[in-house]
Amino acid sequence: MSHDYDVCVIGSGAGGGPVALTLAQAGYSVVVLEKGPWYRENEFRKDELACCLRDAYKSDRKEEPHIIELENDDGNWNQQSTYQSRWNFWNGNCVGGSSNFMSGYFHRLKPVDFRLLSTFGAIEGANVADWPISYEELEPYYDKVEREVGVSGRHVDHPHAEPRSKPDFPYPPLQEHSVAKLIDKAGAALGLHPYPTPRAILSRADQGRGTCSYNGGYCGNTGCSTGAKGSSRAALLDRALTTGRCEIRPGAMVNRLVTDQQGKITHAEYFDKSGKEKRVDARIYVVACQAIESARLLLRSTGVRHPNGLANGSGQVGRNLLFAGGGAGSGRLLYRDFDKAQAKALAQSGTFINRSLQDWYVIDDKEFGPAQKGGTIDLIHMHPSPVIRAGRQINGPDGLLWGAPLKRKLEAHFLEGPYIKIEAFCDWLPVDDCHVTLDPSVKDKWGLPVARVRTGFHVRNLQVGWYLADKGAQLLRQMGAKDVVSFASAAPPTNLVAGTCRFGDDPATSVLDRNCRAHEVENLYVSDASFMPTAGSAPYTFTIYANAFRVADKIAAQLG
Amino acid sequence: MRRRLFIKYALSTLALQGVPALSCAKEWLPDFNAIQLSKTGMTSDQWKLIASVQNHLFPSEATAPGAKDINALQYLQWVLSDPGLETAQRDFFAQGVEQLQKTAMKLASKSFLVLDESNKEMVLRAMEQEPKGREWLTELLHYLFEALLTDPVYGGNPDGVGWKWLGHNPGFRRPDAQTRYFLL
Repeated sequence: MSHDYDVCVIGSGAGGGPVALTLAQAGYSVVVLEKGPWYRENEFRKDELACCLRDAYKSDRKEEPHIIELENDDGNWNQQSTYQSRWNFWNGNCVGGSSNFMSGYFHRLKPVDFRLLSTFGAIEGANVADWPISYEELEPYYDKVEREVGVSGRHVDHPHAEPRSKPDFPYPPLQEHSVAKLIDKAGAALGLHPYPTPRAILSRADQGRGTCSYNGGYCGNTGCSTGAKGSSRAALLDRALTTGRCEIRPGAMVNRLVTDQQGKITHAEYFDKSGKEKRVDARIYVVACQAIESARLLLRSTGVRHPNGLANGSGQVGRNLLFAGGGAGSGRLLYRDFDKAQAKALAQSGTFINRSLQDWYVIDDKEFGPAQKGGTIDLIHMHPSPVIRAGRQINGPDGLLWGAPLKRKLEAHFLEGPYIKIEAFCDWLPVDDCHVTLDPSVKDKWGLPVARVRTGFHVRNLQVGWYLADKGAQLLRQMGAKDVVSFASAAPPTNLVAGTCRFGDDPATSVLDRNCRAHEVENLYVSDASFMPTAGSAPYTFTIYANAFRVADKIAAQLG
Repeated sequence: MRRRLFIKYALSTLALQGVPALSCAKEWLPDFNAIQLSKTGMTSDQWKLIASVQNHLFPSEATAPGAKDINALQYLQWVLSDPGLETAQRDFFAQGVEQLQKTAMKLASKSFLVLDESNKEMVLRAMEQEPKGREWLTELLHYLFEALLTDPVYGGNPDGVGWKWLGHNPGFRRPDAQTRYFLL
């Protein structure tokens, strides 16, 4: 039987890019359907209005809301639409997806992340499961991402460092800010092991991409204007296109995957830019729409053999949604506490701090309880977005500030020394009350039911988050930072999403097999973060990339 | 983030409707000489009151720019003349102006425009005590900050005066006329 394409990839972000590139390079024909528009490098600007105040790169929440459920103090679930709320579960809807807007902190997971259940045992109230694959199986793909996407850094051994097949990163570290030295010194004094943060940012021009233009904290939330940041678009899809075998269709919103009597997918139905319904058929379909939207697509793709949604005989699609647990904090390095030369170096705003701590990746602290999973602490500059930062200065002790008092406070905030932030990442334990379903009544602009997201959390997330944030705050104080604050939050970070289609060896308790192929559908793979039964304690993009390259090899093997 | 609500409509209308909307967007380019007050939902008298409030909230100083120096009034007029905005969004500002005058008449028996600084302060502090008044003032402050600190290509922050004042480095690559967010 002839098909339009060998492979149809739905979603062009970190889950889709590696599949498209690998298979196009291997000689297969690939079509990538992307809901959003296709912005070129030239259209990514350091523009606070575009990135952060008007959300220009994200779907409109009026036309495409999410319904979220938040637990109130009485243990009941309050629901609200993200339209006209402070919540936004879109993370970048365009070719390359949210990888265009990531900060690119690329920590690998560690061997322990693949076997949390067998290492630490069950946790009451959490659905912790071991991964069906080991770190050793994924390691070659982490290595591949470091080369294909481009990761810069300098490997420094530390007590929780994971094994590597190559001694160091393919690109040297980016230029470092003087704060890095302060961290190294303070860390040594406390007996800690701060190490250079690997970044998915090129430190020299390569593969047709430019080198970093050093905008410091601007990377997170804004697209890269030089191609240095390893977005799926710049690093992978642009190269996939040069094979002549990969086609990208922007503005293509997949309505559903249609299945036959045997339960196999026959074609994808989608709406094109003008709203016209189109279809495409392929030998294999790869879903990579980010965890919430991937689950939503499967749930609405019902068929004779899939009455509860595609590949959902187990009822697991949409369950065990993961965000990232953790804490945060900040401290202030005041120019007046340093000599002139040091103060001048501190004021420099282009280079990166690039320091992380994983001394508590496993917490073995009797005062905190039995040995348990901890996490990662990144040290970063406060995001430069000046309008948002100014907006945080308007509250005074007796009400709103304005006039001269407001202006003096703005000067103090912006001019007296940089704020250094800590971001602590720990596991968001999988729980029954964190999941995605289809909303029974609210529809998006195409008439499709929107995702309803319940955001329950396990109290352990908070405990570990507080623990890590407190450790990070100690380091800030040791550095001489003033006004140090730290805290943990149970609120779901909407830019860090995983789970909903966990992989496993048992079709009764998992959606995907160990190769991320659906147990129930022989021509369906899911290659974004949906596969993760637990998601580790670091940002997810590196692992999504690595796994998607692994899945691409499995698909190639199936295509023959 | 309530303040985001006002403007996001621009994107929803402009980005998703293809060519006709784009031409619509081009008419909305921030040319401060071409602003039609009729499209802002407020009269020139109402805008005089807004200007007066802006100057009180963010006065010009010898060492720091104020509302007048950053084109704050025209910037907000441009924001409110966005063709994608819903009527309710514009009404919110107009209702605030109405409330301002009511409060001024009640507390000082005069128009806000002719009050001295201490009476203006009293009236605005009284408005702040009401949830709606506080929201209105918060919105005005937000758009003052936008006029102060967004890229000069949008018409505020002339010659980067706000960035210079607060030591902000705008980064590479900055938006130009063709890559303003509503044209993407």
